[in-house]
Amino acid sequence: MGALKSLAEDYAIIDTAFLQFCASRGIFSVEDFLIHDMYTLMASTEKLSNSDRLKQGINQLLLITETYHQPWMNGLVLLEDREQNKHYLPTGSESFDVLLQGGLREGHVTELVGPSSSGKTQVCFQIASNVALKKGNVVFFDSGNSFSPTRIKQMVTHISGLKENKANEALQQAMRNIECHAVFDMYALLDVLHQLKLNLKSQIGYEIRLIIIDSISSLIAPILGGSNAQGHALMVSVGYLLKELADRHNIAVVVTNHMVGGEGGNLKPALGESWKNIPHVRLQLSCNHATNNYAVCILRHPYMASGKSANFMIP
Amino acid sequence: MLADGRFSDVHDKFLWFLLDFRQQNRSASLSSPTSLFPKPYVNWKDRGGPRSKSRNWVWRRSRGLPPGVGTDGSRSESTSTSHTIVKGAQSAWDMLQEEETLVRITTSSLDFDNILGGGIICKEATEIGGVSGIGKTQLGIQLAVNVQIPFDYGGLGGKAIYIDTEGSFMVERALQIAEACGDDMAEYSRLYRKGSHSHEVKIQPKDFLENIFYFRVCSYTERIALINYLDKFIGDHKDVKVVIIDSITFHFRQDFDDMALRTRLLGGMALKLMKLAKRFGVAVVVLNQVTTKKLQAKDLLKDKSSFKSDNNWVTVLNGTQEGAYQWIIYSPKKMKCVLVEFTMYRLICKEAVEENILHRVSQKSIVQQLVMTGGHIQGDILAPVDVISLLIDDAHTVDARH
Amino acid sequence: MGHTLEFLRQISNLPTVNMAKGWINGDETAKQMLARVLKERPLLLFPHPLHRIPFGINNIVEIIGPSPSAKTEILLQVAVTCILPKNWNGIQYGGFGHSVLFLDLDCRLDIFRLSQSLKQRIAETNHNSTHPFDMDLFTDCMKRFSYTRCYDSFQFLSALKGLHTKLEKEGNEHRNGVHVLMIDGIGAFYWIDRGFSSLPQMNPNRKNICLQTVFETAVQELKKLLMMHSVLVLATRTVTTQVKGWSKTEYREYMPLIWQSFVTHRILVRPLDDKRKVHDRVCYLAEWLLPALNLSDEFFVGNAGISNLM
Repeated sequence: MGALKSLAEDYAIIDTAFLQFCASRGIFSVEDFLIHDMYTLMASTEKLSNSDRLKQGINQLLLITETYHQPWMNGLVLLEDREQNKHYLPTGSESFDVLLQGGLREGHVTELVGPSSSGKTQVCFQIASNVALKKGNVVFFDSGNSFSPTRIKQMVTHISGLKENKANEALQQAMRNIECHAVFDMYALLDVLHQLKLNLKSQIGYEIRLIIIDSISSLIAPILGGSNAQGHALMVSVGYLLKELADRHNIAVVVTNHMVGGEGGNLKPALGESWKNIPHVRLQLSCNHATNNYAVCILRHPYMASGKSANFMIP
Repeated sequence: MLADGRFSDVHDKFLWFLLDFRQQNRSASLSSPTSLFPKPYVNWKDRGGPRSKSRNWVWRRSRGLPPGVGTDGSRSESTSTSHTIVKGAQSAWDMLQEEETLVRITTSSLDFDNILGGGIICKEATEIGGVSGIGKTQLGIQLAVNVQIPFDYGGLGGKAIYIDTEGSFMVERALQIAEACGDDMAEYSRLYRKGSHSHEVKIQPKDFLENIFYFRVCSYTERIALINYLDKFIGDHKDVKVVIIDSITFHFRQDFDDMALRTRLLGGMALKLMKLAKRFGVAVVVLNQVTTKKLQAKDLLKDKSSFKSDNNWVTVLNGTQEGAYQWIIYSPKKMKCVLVEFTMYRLICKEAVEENILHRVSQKSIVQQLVMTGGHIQGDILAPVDVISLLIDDAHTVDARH
Repeated sequence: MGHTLEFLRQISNLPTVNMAKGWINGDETAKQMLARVLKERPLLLFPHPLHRIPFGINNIVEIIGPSPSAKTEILLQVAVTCILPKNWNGIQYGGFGHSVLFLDLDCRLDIFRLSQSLKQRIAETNHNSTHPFDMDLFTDCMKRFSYTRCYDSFQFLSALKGLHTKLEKEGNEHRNGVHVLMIDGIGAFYWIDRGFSSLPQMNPNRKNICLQTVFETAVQELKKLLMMHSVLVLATRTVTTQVKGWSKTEYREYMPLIWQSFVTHRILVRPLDDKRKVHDRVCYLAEWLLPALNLSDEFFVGNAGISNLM
């Protein structure tokens, strides 16, 4: 994607004359080409002297654009990819895993919604600790200075079940597997995610199992609203970027969404209707502070019934 | 409206003048015997004296040893080897090492410090919420002074920025606390540095006041502008170690019908403050008035104002300003409620500056009530002259100018 | 003979020369013609909640509703019916044996749900017989399902432009030439495209990249596709609804007019107002908006798929 000029190097047929022809039709980039009708373009070459060559050029461009979208796959290939590459990541809490039939799914974007101090961050910590200890790398994007290495240490020690002195090596390794990045605005997040995408594409050695963004709503909420669509556009872009990363590199993505007071005093998620169809899985958390019991409820899942819930404890 | 519109300038300038005035002329008369002004640090002595944990920690800091790190120096080459997938990221292990060496500002209360994990942490934002009149401002002033405790005494030796939105900063009170702090340091050096060369306390109370940068903001636009400017200000004043904002939601409680805009502005501001904390390694302390009177953890959490994104907050659930403080504090990081006997100093003494302070506190609460309920100023509650006096301090002090 | 008339009307629109000739010469009886037409352009009767209207080739069916309202689930159940054969090894499966092309703009499909439903459907049909699970049938069906996902409007357009070549290739492999094209989340890039429209265009000659042009091109490409292949389009779209009065549901329309007028059938699904639950499952309501049938169906999603609520 990009300027047509940049294609001239690789394809002989896209020459100065062709570029000139395109420019006269207002086509400067591949995107411009995509919103034009190929037949109309073909027809408009007829009167020109070099029409054959121009037609070849158009066909070449068409071939290039066809590679731009994801390849078609049949159901069997998809199923095989899912079974071989997209695993469950256990959360470290048994009842949570039972509810989700094994944990978070690689390739899925999972959203945790819940009011203040309903355990969103704690659940994130627990999942991160468990994955770092047993599976691999975790990238944690922290927008609220909520990342607490001390708490992670505590959780890793608890999960590994080893005595403090014995667990030291495992602890160090697990904590090295968690990478934390403080982001304080949307642009920084987009920047880092793009960078991550490039890195993952070019370097095969890196493997990330889990990306956590806590909380995505506090990054997005300040840019929403008003009459312009920019905020929403950025929100949807970041959503698709996450989905792409998750699917292409088999990463489980967890984002948190806090709740704000809506009409009539009811709590509603800070990111509302237009965010709703971004995540694959939406889980609602709640906490009983008196008993220190947490509850999780499925609000949306690609293949499980919504409304199921489970109780769990956080160490 | 009156409170923040016309007279704000006057008030602002007057406070500056007052600060100056106190330093130049009144410091001698006010640095009266300590018997009159019990020390804010009283709890150090009250709670098992200097051998208490808090003191111990301070002492360790003074020897250049971070708390939690053994003398064997077990952490070493670990920090250099790590390389991250994302540029600018840090592994949790490295952060753990760093966190253990992070400096903290003591609140002067052992219990409170324990809840906070050793004090107000630098590089992060901390929110302290509570209902009106529970002593949040007092704590803010205390922190502005405490941050200046020199390195030798286990402090940070930094400076403070105090952003006042309600006009509740009391310079007399700051001076008292500074004096008490000085006394306490003197005592500390008497107890622990017997062999040491000097028993003198080098810092004078007025020096404490000099190191508090006071900003009075009167509208939310001013505040947003100021917070944007802080970036540069702290860049120029690298020794600033704490930014205190009293209170974060004040201007947003009034004249704000657009709740969505309010949430957006507050959210954006919170992110900026946290960025500031991370970038310059300063502690950001946000005092937040919680509007509910029902003192139950659950209600307060629901009503926890809009500064939501911050995880590092405590909420004062119950307490009293009279006499010793008793705060029940809820800390989400520890996930529990703790009763804190917060013996931050308070004395009601006739003919002392104290009375003025108390008077002003009561006036402040009336004005806040007005702001919150949106009522009009009625003669029988608060005469116009009282409002003015609230803004440009009380008549007594005004007289003192002449 | 309302049906026949309908077919005559449809046929008269056909561009194929042969057919036109056949019509003029009158060398076919109405019965023959009906048989031929039903073979070439079969009427498809989809499962709940789309069962009220039989669909033909060239129909553009849009399923709209708030999120979540089982829209993708409806697509998947239709897909299962489409990819299942009519009969296999002598057992009637009652499917269509068509190929399904799934363009996922929401990027949220989990293929596991399709395979789960398909397996369940096969097992249900087989449950009287002694046969073990027929893996060959399953493989055959799954191969008829093609999937791609798009992360932005340009990928969507490029996928549409490439569909013609793909269908031509596929036409050689499968004898049965009918394709069902499913577009999940047609309005997914609405905000991104709207954001684009504020970008300045340096050249007055240059088409502005915005929602309008994207859909102009998309509709144009689809029209070309419909002319050359036997395709039925099913699209889903998320809308926000609000119930006004006691029976009328209103939703906020945000699509360009060109798409709105392209759609031939539109059904609205939403969760029931009374939040009723059956077997612990959320119940939904389906209303036909285009054609405006005065009927509404209640349904819920179970493990086996969509069931009608009586």
